[in-house]
Parts: sequence; C-alpha cells; structure tokens
Amino acid sequence: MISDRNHMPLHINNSNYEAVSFTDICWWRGINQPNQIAYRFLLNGVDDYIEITYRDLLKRVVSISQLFSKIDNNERAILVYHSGIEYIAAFYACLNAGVTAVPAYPLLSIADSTRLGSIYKDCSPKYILTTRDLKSHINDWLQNFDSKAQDCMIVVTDTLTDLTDLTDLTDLTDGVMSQKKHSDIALLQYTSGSTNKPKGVIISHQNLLHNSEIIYKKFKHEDSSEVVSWLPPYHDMGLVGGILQAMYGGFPSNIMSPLTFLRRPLRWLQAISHWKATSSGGPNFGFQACIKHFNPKMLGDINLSSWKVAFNGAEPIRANTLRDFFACYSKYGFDCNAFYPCYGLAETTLLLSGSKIDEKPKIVCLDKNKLQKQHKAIKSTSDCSLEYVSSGTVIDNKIYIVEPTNFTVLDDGKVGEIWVTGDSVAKGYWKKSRQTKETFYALLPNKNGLFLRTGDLGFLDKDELYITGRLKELIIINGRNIYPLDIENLVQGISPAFRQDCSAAFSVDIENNENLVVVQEVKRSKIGMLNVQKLKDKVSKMCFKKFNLVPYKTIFVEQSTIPKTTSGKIMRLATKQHYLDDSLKRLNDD
Amino acid sequence: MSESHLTFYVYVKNALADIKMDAYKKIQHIQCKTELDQLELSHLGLDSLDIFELIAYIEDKYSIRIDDSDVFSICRLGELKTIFEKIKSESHNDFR
Repeated sequence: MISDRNHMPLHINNSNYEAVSFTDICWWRGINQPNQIAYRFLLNGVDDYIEITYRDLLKRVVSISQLFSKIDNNERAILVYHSGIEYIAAFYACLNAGVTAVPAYPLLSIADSTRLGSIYKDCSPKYILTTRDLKSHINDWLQNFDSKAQDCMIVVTDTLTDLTDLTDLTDLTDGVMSQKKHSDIALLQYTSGSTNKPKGVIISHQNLLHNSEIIYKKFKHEDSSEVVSWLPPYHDMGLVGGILQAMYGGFPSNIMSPLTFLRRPLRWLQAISHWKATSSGGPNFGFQACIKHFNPKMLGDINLSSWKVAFNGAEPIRANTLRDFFACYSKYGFDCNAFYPCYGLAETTLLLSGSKIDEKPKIVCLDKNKLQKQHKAIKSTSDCSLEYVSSGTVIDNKIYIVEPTNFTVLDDGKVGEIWVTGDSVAKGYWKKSRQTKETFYALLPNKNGLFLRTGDLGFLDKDELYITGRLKELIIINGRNIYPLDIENLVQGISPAFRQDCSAAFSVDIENNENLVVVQEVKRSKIGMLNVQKLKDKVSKMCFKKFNLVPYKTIFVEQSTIPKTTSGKIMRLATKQHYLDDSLKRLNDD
Repeated sequence: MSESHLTFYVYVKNALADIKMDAYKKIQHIQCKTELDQLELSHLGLDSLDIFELIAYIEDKYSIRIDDSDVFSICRLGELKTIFEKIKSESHNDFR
C-alpha cells in the first residue's frame, strides 16, 4: 500500500512503524490505540468539552474522505470551519484522499471574506468544505465573489453519518486511502506576512513529518505530554503545533476557539491547570493579554506547575513580557524555565529554532549604535542598549547568517539575513515561480543545496539565534540600520492624539538617498484639535534625539488608513506604496 | 433615556473603565441616548482585543452568549445594544 517509506523512519510509541504521511499515523493510531483520546474541544475554554478517540476520529476521517473520488487527487479543497473537531477531521480527510488541504479562516469578518477571496483566486479549489451553519453564508459569498464558480462545490461535512465500526475501515482502506509519497503536497498554508499579499506555501508530507519530529525532540515530548491550544487552527502554529504535533506524538490536544481566548484570556491558563498541560504557547501578545487580565480572584487556585514548554514565537519576543508574566504567575507554580522562545515561519513548515528545555530564556543587551551602524551585536549595559531574547538553537535543518547584498556567510555576532536549508523547508509558493525562485532557490558560494531566504534579520551567538528585524522593512539611512518598529514606538508615544500600533516608518529613495517617512494615525476624536506643525516638530525633535535623524516627511492620517494584515501587523511596504502613489489620505499637506 | 438604556450603558461605561481608561474618559459624560447609540467603537479607540473583552464583560454580567459573527459586525455601541436586547428577549421567551 505504501511504497515510499525509506526516507523517514519514524518511531511511534517505540514501535518500529514507519510513516510516510500523517494519514499513516492517523490510521495507525485509529487501529492500534482506538480508545485513546485524540482531541478535546473545550467549549467554554476549560472544562465543558467534547472529545474524540483515535478510532472515532479515523471513522470520521474516512466518512469525509468518501466524498472525494480518485480523480480528485491533488485537487485543492479549502477548509472553512470554526475551530473544532470537524475541522480537524476534514483536514485529515483531505490528506487521506490525496486532496490538497487549504485551511482558511471562517467567514466572520470582512477581513476573512477578503482573505478567502484571495486564497480562492490563487488556488482554484474544486471544493470548499464546511459545516451546515456556515454553508449558506459561503454560498452567498461565492455567488458575490465569483458568479461563474460552477467548478467549485461547497460540501457540508458535519451532516455525514460516521462509519459504524472498525471492520468497515479495514475494508475501505485500499479504496479510500491515497498512496502518497513523501514529496507529495499535503497542504497550502497561506501566510499572513506583513509585507505581501497572501502566498500559498506548498507543504509536503515530508515537511510535516520532518518538522513534527523536530518539535517532538526540541519540546522533549513523550507519551504523557498534553497540549492546550487556543491558536487559530488555520495558521501554521495552530495547525502544526497545536493539532498535528499531538497526533504525531500520540498525546491529547485540548483545543479552544481563539475567540474564547480573546474574550477571556485567563481561560487559557485555567485550561492548562485543569488538563495539567505540558505544552502550550502562542505569540507574545497572548502572554501580554494574560498580564493585562491578571486577576487572582478569577484564577482561584490554578496550578501551572505542569507547564513545561510555554512557547513564545511568531512575533517579536519582548523580554519585559517574560518578566511581567513571571512576576504575575510564578506564585501559581509557573516555572521560569518553562519559557520557550522560538522562531519559525510557514516557509519552514513551522519551527526552525527553539530554546533548550529547562533553561531560562537568554536575554542580551546590545549596543544600539553598533547594531545599526556596523550591523554587529556587541553586548552593552549602557542606556543606549536594546534587549533581545534568544530564539534558541536549530536542529535537523541548517541556517546561515548571510550578508544580504553580496551573499557572503557572516561570522557569529554579525547581523545578516537568515538563510535555511533542510527537509523542513517548503517546496515553494503555489503558482508563483518568480517568488519561489527568489525566496527558495538561493545559492551560497561553497555551500551545497538551495537555500530559503527568510527575509528576517538576525545573528548567531554560539549557535543561539537572535532575531533583530525584517530585511525588507529595514530602513538603511547613511549605512545605518534603523528598525521601523523602534521609530514607530517612539512616535506613538509623542502625543495622546496618536493611535498606538498604528504608525508606519519606512524609507524612500530621493535622489539616490534613503530618507525616512513616518505615517501616523490620529485618533478621530483628536483630529479637530490637532496642531500639526507643533506635532511634526516634536516628531522631528524626538527622532533626532533618539536616532540622530529627522524624517523627510511626517504624515498624519485618519484612523484605519494604514493597511494591516488580518493578524493586525502593520503592512509597511503597502503603506509605502500608498505614499508613493500619493493615495494616502493625509491630514496635513506634508 | 429609558431604564434599559441607562442600565446597559452604565454597565458598558463601567466595563470600559476596566478595559481602557481612555475609552472610558470619552464616554463617561455622554448621557444622550442617540449619541451613545451612534458612538463608533473605533472612535473610542477600541481594538479587536478590547472589543472581545467588552463582549465578555457583557456576557458575564447578563449571562448571555453573543455569537462570534455578531461580534465582528458591531461598529457602533447601538448595534451592540440591539444584539444584546435581541438575545435577552429570546432567552426571556424561552422561559415563558
């Protein structure tokens, strides 16, 4: 049945079973560990839940798979579901049937509709899989979006009846399962990068298995591990980290809706305590939300001592967040060594680097001037220093820090672009050969293989990777690297009229010189009383004081003018484009 | 202002005092029903995290559940109030 097993020998629960894809693992567990809990969906985020065993999950997967036929092999199916077990089953069903899964956000907001539209247009799906409650909504959306969409079928999966027993499964095996190879496509992961429109990262079965093994080893997972995840399952961190890792390792994952977390962030910690979870995490803002909502009365007698891997990744990791979180939650048994700063991207499936288990996070203070002017990481304790948190070490892939203009490999302590090679690196972007070539097929002198250019800047210190910013958004003025975020944070603090996290700093070329432009959103209520000249002067004064440069232009705009990604990140390059096109609706002339 | 308006908006104001002081300062002295109804959440400086937090306050206070898709459709305080009243009246009918 499975022909291409020799590349990836896997050990599942110490057996000698070798898997080629997650389909194999799903089947193996369904048949060999039928009564073990695979997933729980926490309806209230803590203790009201529905759960599914490996056996029942497999039955559900096969039932959904039967919707497809053999001619659907390698067709795309967009998955539009709320977070939950049905989404998970539909995802595995696509893999089982050899259909490429394309996770998408449920149609809750205008941003979701726009995003679904760009995914739909890009991947030309044959199916949109969904649930009964979302069907009419999707149908309306599809009619509006593409009235000629006759080739795309909307299929409801939660009304299907499950198979009755495992005997049925065995009989169906050959008919339903697609014979997959390592290199075949498993899914398209559409990214929410700040700097570009969504691109479908082509993730193969090998990518998923390779990266899952890395996570398993780095997180020191074992049979007794337990996951709690509030992360959107349509996102690489939620899917690979929250859902697939549990299947890979054979331990339960307790999933809550990301919207439950947004409503009540403390449910996350309550769930960790309730289920004695060992692995759970998210972007820095998740930890920040728990700091903001810290409330001993609500927390009661929760116990966070089971939490061994509190991973923090996907956005810049703030040393202050780690300190504040520890200050709030150490008394609830949270261990400082559980902090697990890490780094990864959809293009490397998920995890690229992560700290060592049972070690405190490494934080360094670096000389700001040397970092910006000489691109060197020099430790400093002066007032002019900036803090960086280590994203740990890399295993089973290989990274180099590369000078981004002449492509030479840099030594430890020098800041450059992070380049990666290894089996976790995705195959490219769906139907985007130029971007694939530019991003995935980079070459290094005297090094074998093709390299992924991450577009992220960082440096190595004795194998520890530190991320310092994004290459493409980097402002280089007079040979100095200026990180846009540093300018934006400064400007936002200048006046209470300025909206927080709603400014964009970038550079523009004026007569062969890079010049700084700052765009800042102003709160609607303050527009009438804005003293433009005074504020511009203040911005200039502060930029000069802190960064020794004066903006070429400071532009004030109304709120919601600066484009953002669905995850709320500032799209600086898009803002720059609006500026160059003269399409920014300005509140001031200059 | 009707009593239900008063109760609802008093509670919203109290919740905002916890969630975002800047937003509370903007709303605390507004008494006019129409003005409160028309007040845009973005005008109060609330981002999506703040809005979900406000929703959670209201759900806890009135023991109701506001649908996720409704949350994303709310632009003005009046719309939030309409959804709240609809859910309250439905749950009231359920008990009759």
